[in-house]
Amino acid sequence: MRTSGVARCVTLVAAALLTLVACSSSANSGSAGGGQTSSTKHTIGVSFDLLNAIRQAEKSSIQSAARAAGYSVVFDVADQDAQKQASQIQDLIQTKKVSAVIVIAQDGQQIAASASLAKAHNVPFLAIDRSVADQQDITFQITGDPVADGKAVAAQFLAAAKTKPLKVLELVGGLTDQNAIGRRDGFNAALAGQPGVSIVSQVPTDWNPTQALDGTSNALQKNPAINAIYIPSDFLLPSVQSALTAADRLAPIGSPKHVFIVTIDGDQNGCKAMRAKTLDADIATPVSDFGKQAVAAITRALDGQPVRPKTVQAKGLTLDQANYATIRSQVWGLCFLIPLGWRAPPRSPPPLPLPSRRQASRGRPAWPGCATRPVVRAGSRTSRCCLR
Amino acid sequence: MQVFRGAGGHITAQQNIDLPAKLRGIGIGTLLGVPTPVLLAAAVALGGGFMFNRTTFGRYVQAVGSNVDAAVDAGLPVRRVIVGAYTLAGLLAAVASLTQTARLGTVQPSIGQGYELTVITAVVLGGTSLFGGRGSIGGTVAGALILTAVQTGLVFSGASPYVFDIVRGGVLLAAVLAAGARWRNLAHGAGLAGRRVRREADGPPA
Repeated sequence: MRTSGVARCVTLVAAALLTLVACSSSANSGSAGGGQTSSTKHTIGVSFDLLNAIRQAEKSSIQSAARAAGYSVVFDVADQDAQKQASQIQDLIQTKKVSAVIVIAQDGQQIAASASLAKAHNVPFLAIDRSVADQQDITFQITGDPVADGKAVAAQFLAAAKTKPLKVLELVGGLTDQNAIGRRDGFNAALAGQPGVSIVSQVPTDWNPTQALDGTSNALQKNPAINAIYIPSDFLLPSVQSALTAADRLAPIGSPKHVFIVTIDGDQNGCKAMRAKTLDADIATPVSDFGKQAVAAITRALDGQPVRPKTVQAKGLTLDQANYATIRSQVWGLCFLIPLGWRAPPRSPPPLPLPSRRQASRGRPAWPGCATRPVVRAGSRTSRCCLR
Repeated sequence: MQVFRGAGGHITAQQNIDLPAKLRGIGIGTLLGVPTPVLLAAAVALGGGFMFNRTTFGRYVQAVGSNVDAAVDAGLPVRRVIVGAYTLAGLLAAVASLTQTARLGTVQPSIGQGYELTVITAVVLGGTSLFGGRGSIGGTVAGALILTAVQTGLVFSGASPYVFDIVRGGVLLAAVLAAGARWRNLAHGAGLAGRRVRREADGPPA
């Protein structure tokens, strides 16, 4: 009996999961495959290393570009597992027979095997965001330029140091991540030997918000003189803001308590902080370009034309308090589309309360002027009684 | 865990959700000058210590961890103890995640990734055997404190980011080696005692 009960439970859970998967996949195909009605029926296979806010933006950029070009999209996430990504790509090419593959590589070295598999099957292989070590079998690659982004951050610090000397806390991302290393090296190289800016503390975060929070708190405690922070991704901005709030140092630009902060990525977090005037500058990665250029390259490759240039490094756009009003539309994220004074639309008024037992027993009218519970129409604040 | 992580990503669409200030008390509030998370951790440690050492359930947990078959033979409600232990672990994980989220001030779907390994490290550092049956709440608290102190000390000493992993790994290695040596000594002692007992049972040689 017990076994059959357990089996029933497992079946129920499995059925629920399958339903969920069916729902979400139908929703996906609805959003991604909008352009399937056009004459071409190419499918693009996409394999991401992980899914977070910036990957979500990259995903929608690919989806909208693919929809515009009339392609449908099959989407996989490898959960930061290089082996899993390799088998996903194999599945895309051999089983799902996609026409092209777009990959954000978990491991720039290991992905070479997948690229040569794609070449053997004559499937264009495109790398975005993370560069691939062996470029031989790659059709097209578009990435950010981490070193240039780090230098752009340094330029902001140097400009700010003209008014007052800066003591900088530098957060570092994952030490095995080429983007994190590039952003760090670009920043450090540009600041080396420059007067007015000194890096007083370097804290590794391993791209982990909790480590960033603890590291920032500790560094602020050790060096209360820190008056500038370099955050290599907007993703860690909430952690730093929490640490600053706890140390009573979070203040808008212009306040004597204000800590000079520059980040990279340009996501929702940066956008919000920019509007709250607690963030001085944000080097926004042109993520929406990644999808557009990749899909354009697929179209050329499928037409049999050569893709030139084969490798593109897109520098970040510098958003600061002076220019963000004019160039914010080029940066991804819905944050800027919402006006500052925006408030949620009023909901329909809550239903009137039922009479309490005490009220009913005392014979008091529960709803003055009405014999029964009044009906409230959604969207209107007037109510009317059911019986007159 | 993967199911819930996936569900979390689905619900939040991988975006951060800001937490209203009034929900952050558990993470950033203070009571008589002591931060709430510290009080909470102390309460959980005391409660855990009491439960582990002074209640029947705690004794059962140790017995089941030490030898399931023996516990079954002794007539212990093994199934209930295991379910109870996992439920308790889930409850405490929820308390920890609420505290951490409140400290951070935003709900981040990726927060806490890889934490299971950090937790195991702290517990092993505190002298708990990975094979069950041995461990203490005090040791676990000490293990967690050592890990955090090392991390904080590295930031304070201004060490290079590369040194962090070397030191953290080194501390764990030292702890595991020390624990291994201790168990080996114990096992050695038990082996000697066993041999002596056997010799005595055999009777003196003629």
